[in-house]
Amino acid sequence: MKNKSETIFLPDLEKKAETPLFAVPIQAGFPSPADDFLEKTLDLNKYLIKHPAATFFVKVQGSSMEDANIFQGDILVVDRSQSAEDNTIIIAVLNGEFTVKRIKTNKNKISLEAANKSFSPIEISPDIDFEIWGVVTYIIHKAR
Amino acid sequence: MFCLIDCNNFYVSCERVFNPKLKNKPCIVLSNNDGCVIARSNEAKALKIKTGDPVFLHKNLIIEKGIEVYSSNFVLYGDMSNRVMEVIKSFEFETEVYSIDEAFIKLDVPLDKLQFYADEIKQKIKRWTGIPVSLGVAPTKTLCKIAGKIAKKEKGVLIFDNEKIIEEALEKTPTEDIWSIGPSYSRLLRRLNIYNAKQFKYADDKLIIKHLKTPGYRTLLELRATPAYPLDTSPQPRKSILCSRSFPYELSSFEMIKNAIASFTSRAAEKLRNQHSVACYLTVFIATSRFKEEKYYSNSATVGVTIPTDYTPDLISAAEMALKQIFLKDLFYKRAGVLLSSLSEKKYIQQDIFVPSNSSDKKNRAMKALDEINKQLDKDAIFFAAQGVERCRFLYKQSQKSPKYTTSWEELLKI
Repeated sequence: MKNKSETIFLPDLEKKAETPLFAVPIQAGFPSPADDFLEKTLDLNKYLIKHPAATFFVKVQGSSMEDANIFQGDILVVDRSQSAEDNTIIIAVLNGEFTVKRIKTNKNKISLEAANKSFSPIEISPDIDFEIWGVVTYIIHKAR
Repeated sequence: MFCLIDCNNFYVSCERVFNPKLKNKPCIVLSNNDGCVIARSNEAKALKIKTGDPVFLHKNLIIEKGIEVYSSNFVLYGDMSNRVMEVIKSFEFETEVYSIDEAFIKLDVPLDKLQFYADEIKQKIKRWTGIPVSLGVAPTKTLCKIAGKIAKKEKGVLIFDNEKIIEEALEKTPTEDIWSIGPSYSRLLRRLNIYNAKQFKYADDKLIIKHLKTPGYRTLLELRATPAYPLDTSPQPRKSILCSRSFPYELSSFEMIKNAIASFTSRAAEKLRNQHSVACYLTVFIATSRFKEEKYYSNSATVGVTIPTDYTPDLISAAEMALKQIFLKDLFYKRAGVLLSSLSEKKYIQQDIFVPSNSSDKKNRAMKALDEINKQLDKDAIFFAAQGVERCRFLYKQSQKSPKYTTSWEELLKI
C-alpha cells in the first residue's frame, strides 16, 4: 500500500470577494435617475482651508475687532502662507503677545488698527518687536 | 545632489510658534514622565544643559536662570512635523521622511540653482509653519548630515559643491559625528589613528572593511562622494515594537505593574495592527532604580505564541505569564516595558491545524472596531480591564504640558 499524502487547505478568511455595489437598493429593476449624476457632498474643510499645512485655528478673546464682526469666542481660520496686504485682518505678535488687528501699510508706514472706537491705532516703528503670524481668512461665528 | 532638511531644536521650536515670548529665552522640553531633557533651545545649550540629562540635575540652574521647562507634547509635535513634511513635499522632489524632524530630498536641479532652491525651501517652511530649519546639500546622505550640522551652527544652508569645502568640513568633524558611527566605533577608529572624517575618508579600504564591515565601507564610499544609501521613499514596517516607560514614583505591587504591562501591551498591539503585522514573541522587562542604595534588579522573560497574533487580549495574557516569571515581591520597580518581536506580515500567517480558524475572524472584527473607536474618540476610550480602571494615567507625570493647539477644539490658541 502506497502512502498517500494529503494536502490540507484551510479557507483564507482574510480575502473577501468583491462584488460591485449599487449606491441605491435595487427595487424591481428600476434605477434611480440620479445614479449617473452622483457627486461628493460638500466639504467645509475644502472650502475654508486652501493650504492645510499653513492653516491654524485660533479663538478670539476681547472686543477690539467687533466692528469687523469678530466677537469674543469666535474661531478664526488663520493662513500663514498668505501675504498681509494693506487693510487685511492679521494675527500679529507684538512684544511677544498675540493680537488680532487690521494692518495698514500705506506710505511705507506700518500700523495696526482695531475695529472698535475704544482702541487707538498702534504705529509700528522699526524698534518695536513685531511679527506677522498669519492672515485671517474666515471668521466662524456661532449664530445661536 | 541630496539635501537634508533638519528642524532646529524641533520640540522647542514647536512651543515657540504658539508662545512667541519664548523667543531668545533658555527653554527645555522633558521626556515622557518629565524625567530627562530631550530638547534644548540654543540659550539652554549655552548653559551647558545636555540632551539626556535628568532634569533634577539642573534644578538650581532652572530657577536661577529662569529656564522655561515644558513637558513633551507629542500630539502637537507630531502634527507640526506632518505640516513641515507636507511643505517639503509640495516642492515635488523625491522625499524621504527620516525622523520626526528630518527629511532627505533628491535635489535634482542645476548646480547653480542649488542655493536658490535651498533658500526657497527654508523660507517656505518658516513662513508656513513657523519652524526654522537648516539645510545640508551634498552628493551623499552621509555628507548631507555633516553639512547640515555645520549649517545649523552657521548660516542655515551649506552646500557641498566643491572638494575644498568638503575637505575643510571633514577635517573639522570628529568620527563620532559621522552618521552611523557611534562612540564604540569611534574608539575603535582612534586605535587605528583615525580621529576625524577626513582621515576616515583617506583610510585604507581593506582596513575599514576588516574592522567596520559592510556598513563601514558604505560610510567610506559616502564620505568619498559616492552614494551608497539611496533615498528610502517607502518606509519599511518595523521589525520589533517596543513600549516602555519609567514610572514617576516606584511601584511594588504586582497588580499595579500588571496594569502597566497591560497598557504597554495594548499600545504596542495598536502599533502592530497599524502596520498590518503579527508578532511571534512577546518580551516583558522590569527594573528597579539604578540610583538607589538597594541592589539593582532587572530581568526579562519572553513568551512565544503558537500562531503569530495581533489580538490584544491574547498578547495581554502572554505578557502576564511572562511577568509572573520575573516579578519579585518587596522590590520597588522604576521601569517596565513590553517588546513585540519576530514580526511578520499578517496576510502570511500559517494556521494551526488544532485551532478553529473561524474564531480569528471575530477577533479581527473586534480589534478593528476597537481601533476605529479609539481613533475617533479619545485614545483609550475603550480599554482592557487588565489595564486597570485608572488606565495608568498615574504613570504620566506631565506637569508643564502646553495645550494641543492644533488637534483639540478645546485647546486652541487664545488671542
